[in-house]
Amino acid sequence: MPKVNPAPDFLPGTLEMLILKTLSRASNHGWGIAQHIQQTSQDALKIGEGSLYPALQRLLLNEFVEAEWGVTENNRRARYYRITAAGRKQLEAETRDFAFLLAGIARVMEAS
Amino acid sequence: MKLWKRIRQWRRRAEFEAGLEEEMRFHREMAGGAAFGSMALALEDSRAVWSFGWLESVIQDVRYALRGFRKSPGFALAVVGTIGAALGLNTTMFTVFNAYALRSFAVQDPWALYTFTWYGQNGQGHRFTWEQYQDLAARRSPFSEVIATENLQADVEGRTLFGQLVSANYFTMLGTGMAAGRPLLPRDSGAVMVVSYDAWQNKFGADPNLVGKTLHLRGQAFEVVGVVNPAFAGLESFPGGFWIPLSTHAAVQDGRDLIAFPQPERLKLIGRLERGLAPETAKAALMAWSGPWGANLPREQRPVGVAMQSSATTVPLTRDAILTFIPIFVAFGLVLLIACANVSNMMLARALARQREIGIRVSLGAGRARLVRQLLTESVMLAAPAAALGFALSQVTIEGARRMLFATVPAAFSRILMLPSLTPDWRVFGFILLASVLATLVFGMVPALQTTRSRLVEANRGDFSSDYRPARMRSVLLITQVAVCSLLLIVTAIVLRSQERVTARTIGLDLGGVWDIMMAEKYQARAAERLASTPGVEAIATVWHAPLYGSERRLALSPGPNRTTIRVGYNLVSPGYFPVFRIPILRGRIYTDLEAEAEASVAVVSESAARRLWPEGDAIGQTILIPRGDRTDPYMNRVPAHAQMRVIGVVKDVLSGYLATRPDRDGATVYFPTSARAANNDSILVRVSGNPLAARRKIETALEGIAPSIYDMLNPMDDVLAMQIYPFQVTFWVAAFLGGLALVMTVSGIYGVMSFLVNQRTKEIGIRVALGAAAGDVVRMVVRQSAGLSCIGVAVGVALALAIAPVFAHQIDAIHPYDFMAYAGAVMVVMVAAVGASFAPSRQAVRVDPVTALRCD
Repeated sequence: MPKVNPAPDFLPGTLEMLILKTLSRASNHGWGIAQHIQQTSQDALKIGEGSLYPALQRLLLNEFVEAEWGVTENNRRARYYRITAAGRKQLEAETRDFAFLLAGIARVMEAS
Repeated sequence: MKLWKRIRQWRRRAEFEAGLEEEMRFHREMAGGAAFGSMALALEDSRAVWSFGWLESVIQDVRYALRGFRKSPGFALAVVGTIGAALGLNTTMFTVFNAYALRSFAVQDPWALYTFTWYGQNGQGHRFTWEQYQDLAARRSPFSEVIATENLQADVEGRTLFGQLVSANYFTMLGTGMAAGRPLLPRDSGAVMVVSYDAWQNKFGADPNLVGKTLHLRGQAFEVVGVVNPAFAGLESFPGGFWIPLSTHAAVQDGRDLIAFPQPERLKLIGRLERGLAPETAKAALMAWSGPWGANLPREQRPVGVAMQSSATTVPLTRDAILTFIPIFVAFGLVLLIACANVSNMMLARALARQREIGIRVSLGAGRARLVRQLLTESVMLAAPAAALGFALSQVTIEGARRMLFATVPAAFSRILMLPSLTPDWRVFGFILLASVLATLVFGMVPALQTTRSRLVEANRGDFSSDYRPARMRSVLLITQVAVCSLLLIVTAIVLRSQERVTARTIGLDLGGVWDIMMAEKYQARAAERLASTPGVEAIATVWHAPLYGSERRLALSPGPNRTTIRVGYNLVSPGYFPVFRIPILRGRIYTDLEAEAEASVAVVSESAARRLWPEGDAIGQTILIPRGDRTDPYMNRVPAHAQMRVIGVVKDVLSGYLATRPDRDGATVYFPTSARAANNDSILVRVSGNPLAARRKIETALEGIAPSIYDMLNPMDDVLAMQIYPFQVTFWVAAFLGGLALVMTVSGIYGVMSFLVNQRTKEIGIRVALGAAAGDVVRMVVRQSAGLSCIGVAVGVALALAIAPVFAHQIDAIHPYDFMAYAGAVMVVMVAAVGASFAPSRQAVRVDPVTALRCD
């Protein structure tokens, strides 16, 4: 069964990292986060609510993000997520680890 | 921190859910309803992030179990009651075991304390002399310090107490701590005494001024210097009441000095093992030390080995002690097993009724592990209150048993009875925890595994009953119950019949109105004089050992020159002995007071002794020859002054030893003369007319004039006899209680299982009735099933009883472990109960209406 969309959480914690990265630019609501990731990745990564919301809950529980009810441009009530100081630190750490990991994978792939 | 957030989240979960749902709806709208997966699943996953994980499912199970119990409170109560009763019983037994065998004495480093003795070829242990004690203590190896003790039982101002003469370093070496005053110290030179906390509380009315008071013991005044720490009551099997220095030995032990030669062998030694020394090494060192001391001893007493025993607990866990405890543990454990089997059966029956529910759960995707966990949660929730109930019951039982013991023990002995502290400690709590966990596994695990073996296909078809046939399991449980119950009832019956056998024995001694006054020999002559002139005293005798306290002393003597020796019972008594107990004189005469005082070379024999020693011809005029032993102990094997004694009279047989053992039962006894002026006699016996209270007062007044507290014990002989039967009574009560409980549980178990089976077989019974089976056939069918299982159970029980019988066969002669009547009686009771228990369910089966039965389902 070929996968249509490569799952964004091909490595555990990757989705959380993407969310944190998105929020590090500006606060956003759930839909906005999903949209941003999809657009930026040029449709390579499509995030379903089934993975997005549990991931947001994990971030909330670990206090990497904060949530607050707000209003969108078209006057809809929505919950806005904002990255916390702890979240930024976590993002930094994860970015570093990710780069390291990616470089490692790349070296393996180019080795042949 | 996270936990706190979770809890806060959990408290606002309604708000949280609403918010999350709104958020997702918005998301969905923006996405324009694109394929997006189940919203419910997304919600579920989000919620799961905040959950407490497995804890939450446990809470679910607990709530579910509670709901179930509320729906059928009868079931929950029955389980808690059954398991609680069995746990209570076992905890009671363990508490006692703990007090004697596990809890160490409240002294410094109790596990380094060892007592030892050397034994000779005759296998007899040995007490030590002062010189030996001093020598061993001075060596400082293998014991870094040694204490010497000597037991005595004495009257202290009207209270009979068990106490010890102890070496000066006793309290300093043990480091017991004091509740009041000071311990005995090496510098003590006078007559000082330390009293136990229990004696202070219960015998001296917690007198706040006891320390400093003067108490009399065997006529000697002692100054009380301290009350010992409540946790300490000596290192003996009986809690001690007082301690006095060994230096007062001469004053209390008939003027016998420990130090003057030849020194008596009277001391028990307890040493503190040198640090880091293995007991085996110490044993070898003690053997080497013993050798030289044996050089001038008679050959059979020379040390050939050393026995060393831990003094850390009241009962050291040696092989013998463990062998004694095992039957008790097994009996109590079996009751717990029956209770578990019963509850297991109830759970099985209930589980079968819940088969439909479990089938639905399985088809909805519940994993087996999850189901088993849920069923076990139910078991644990039943076991926890059962453990609490069991603990409460054990406390009630212990208190009740203590009171009953004091109420039922013959009056003379309830005054000296002192029990060790039976307060529960961590070991008791650990035991009940372990026992309840084991019980839960036994009664909960089997049904849990059995019922969850559901097959999905059948369950989905709506067929929930056909796949589950735990018949074999149930039969095994039932057979176990019946077997255990039969075993316990057989034991009960055997004990009861032994007791009857002992009670029915005609002893030939007229005990009514006879008192045994045990006293130090230095007062005996004066006491005899005073008592003889007391009005109401009909007869008076001095005796080496009063009868019925234990085994009769035996002596090998030959009935004439060049004849082989024959062992017969013997005693040294003054002529008053025969009128005191109203023993009829059959032929000849008994010796006179003058002959007795002169310890003349005459003897009186009992009928049986006469027959055994001189099978043909008259006993009177014959000569008894007493072979001289190398060495004699005046307490154990004292012999008369002459080597040849002429028989002058024959008296009727009496039983004066231990009634339960065979050698004491043949009544062959030889009496040698002694008098109140002779040494080494234990007691004065008097026959006093009038009621017991007045008689006691008369004796006490007569003796008071000599010196305060001169006698050690004042017992009515009736009580001494009752004391022999008492252990049988106690064993019978305990066995009967266990057996009765087992019977009740078995009956209720059979009843439960049979009525459940009848319910299950309603359809079949309906068909049978429709085909023309009569009521009698149906009853027979049900009863036959239970009777069949019971027969197997009874057979197993009888086999078990026969298997353990050899253990008891040689211990006490009055116990007949192969007593046919006892077996038959117990088997009858069990079978009647088993059939009776299945009778009610069989009536229920008769009432099955075929039309209704066939329509159901």
